[in-house]
Amino acid sequence: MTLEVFTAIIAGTIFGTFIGALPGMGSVVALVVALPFTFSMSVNAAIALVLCIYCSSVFGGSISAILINTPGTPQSAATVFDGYPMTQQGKADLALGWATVSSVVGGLFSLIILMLAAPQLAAFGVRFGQVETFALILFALTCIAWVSRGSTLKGLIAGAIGLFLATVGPDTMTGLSRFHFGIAELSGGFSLISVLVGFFAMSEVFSRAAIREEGQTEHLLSGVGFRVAPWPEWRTRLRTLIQSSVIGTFIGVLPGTGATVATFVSYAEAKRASRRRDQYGKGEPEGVIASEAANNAVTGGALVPTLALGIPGDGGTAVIMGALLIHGLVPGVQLFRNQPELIMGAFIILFFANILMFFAGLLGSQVFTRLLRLPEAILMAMVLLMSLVGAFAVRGNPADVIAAILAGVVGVLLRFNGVPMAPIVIGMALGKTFEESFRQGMMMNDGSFLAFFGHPIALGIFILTLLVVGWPIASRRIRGVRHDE
Amino acid sequence: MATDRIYGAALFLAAALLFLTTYSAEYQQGGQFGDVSTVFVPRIFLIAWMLFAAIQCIGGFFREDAEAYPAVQWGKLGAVSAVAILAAFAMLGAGFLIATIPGFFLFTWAFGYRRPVILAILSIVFPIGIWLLFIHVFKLPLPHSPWFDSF
Repeated sequence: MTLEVFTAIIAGTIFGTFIGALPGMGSVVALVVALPFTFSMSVNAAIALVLCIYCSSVFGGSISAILINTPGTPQSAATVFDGYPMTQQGKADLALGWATVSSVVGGLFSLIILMLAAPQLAAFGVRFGQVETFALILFALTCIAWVSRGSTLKGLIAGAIGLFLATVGPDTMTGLSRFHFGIAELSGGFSLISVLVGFFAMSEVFSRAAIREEGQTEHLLSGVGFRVAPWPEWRTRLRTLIQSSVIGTFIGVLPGTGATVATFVSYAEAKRASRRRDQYGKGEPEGVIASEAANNAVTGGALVPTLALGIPGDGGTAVIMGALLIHGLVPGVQLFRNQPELIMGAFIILFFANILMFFAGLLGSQVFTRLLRLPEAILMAMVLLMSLVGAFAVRGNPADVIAAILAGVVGVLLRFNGVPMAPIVIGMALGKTFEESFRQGMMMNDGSFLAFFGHPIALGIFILTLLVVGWPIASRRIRGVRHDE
Repeated sequence: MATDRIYGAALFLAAALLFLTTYSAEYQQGGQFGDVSTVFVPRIFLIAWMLFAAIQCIGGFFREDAEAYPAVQWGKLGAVSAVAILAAFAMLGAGFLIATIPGFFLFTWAFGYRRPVILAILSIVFPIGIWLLFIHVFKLPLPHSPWFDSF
């Protein structure tokens, strides 16, 4: 390892963590910003820089999700559900510890899978067609019911609103712009980031202005820094950690599915299987583990089709592929066959990136948690300003800023009625892929929805979805009958 | 509960109006080669939205007003959100720095912070810091003033 590569690893990890923690920025923006720097670097240093930024930016998103209820990246949206309640309970340091270690484990797990079985997994990934993706998204949507704490009905309304918002803008099949009502800026649809920033960050800002909870600020002060929970706490949650790493790696392998889907699937499955499911959404560390292990496992998983087949798994890997092409490397089976030393070098870099991520989390937490010591009014003004900037920076579209502000106002009114924010964002994140995969699946099957059930992998996921939805109802009935007897 | 009835009815009405727009002439295309209509999936989402909102509204007639809703400081909420909305529009019209320096000050003041000297310093330092970071380090554009070349 040369000094140049070593510097690129450290710089990439710090830069990625920092950018990931800024609301609205995300992996793709971080990679695009850094791309010009790779032009003058050696191949190995360029690979090191982009891979480290890719891994650490996904992790960085969890910092703002936990501390200020604003996911830095869409991949960290599910981290908010339990991470922020932990901060409200004065356990921000612990939440960051859970998130950091889970991210490192998830990342290392997917790296091992990548090293052992990249070509084989890539071959499986391409068998995963539109019908299978539709089935997977349908399964991920069950997460809406799981995160609707307090009122399932209101959560379902919020989920339906989010799903509808995803359909505003261009129809990818016909090119027709829908529901823009003559407003040109709306014809491109809503940006997920602006909606995310509006419903989570801005509605939180407005809500804090409107409702003064006694002792709220004092609680926040107690958990500054970084703390890893003791081993007995981890031991009881190992199953979730491993399960979420597997889910993240598996979904990462599937081209075009992405880390956001992985985190929601992982969260839904972790909650379904957990003995602590009643504590989810109230600051249960398992929720943070499920989200963070999965989204970081996706990074290794998404590199499988990128490196082995030349098919980018998500937006971040598409930019990485661009960086490789700039340096004359064509990802694919030939790359594995002809330049194994380069692939092995990338694996070693990824290993170091994941280890360094722990230290970036450690140091970053010390810096970012200091923000919680600021007076609430100043902290909220900073959150608002960063939210406005984040909403604008994604596409440079003024409509995104307006959408974020409107989402904030609507969000706070919905909060007063007890409507949870998370299902809106889940619906918004999954709605577009849901529609696209459904319609492409319909076209592939000559307009027959019944033919979807003829796909074995999809059928398996449909059955799993049915079990996940039906089992709680059935078990309540069974318990009720036994109780009556 | 009264609030459930009002929210349920408002949400139902919003979804119903959106549902009606799906029958306009511009959307009557698609559906070829096995594909469904361009508004087929949005209609499913809107039907679900209407159904759940109707259940909430009707259910509100059968529930007592037992749930304690938080006491909302509507005046403060109005002031804070008005400053935020004005700052956002001003940012798009007048440029990032011109809008966010006074916007930061007014927002924090409306939120209840009353130490003007510290606030004045922060209101200058934080927006300029963000601006420098984005424009000169990340090379990402922020809303630009129509009157000045440099910012």
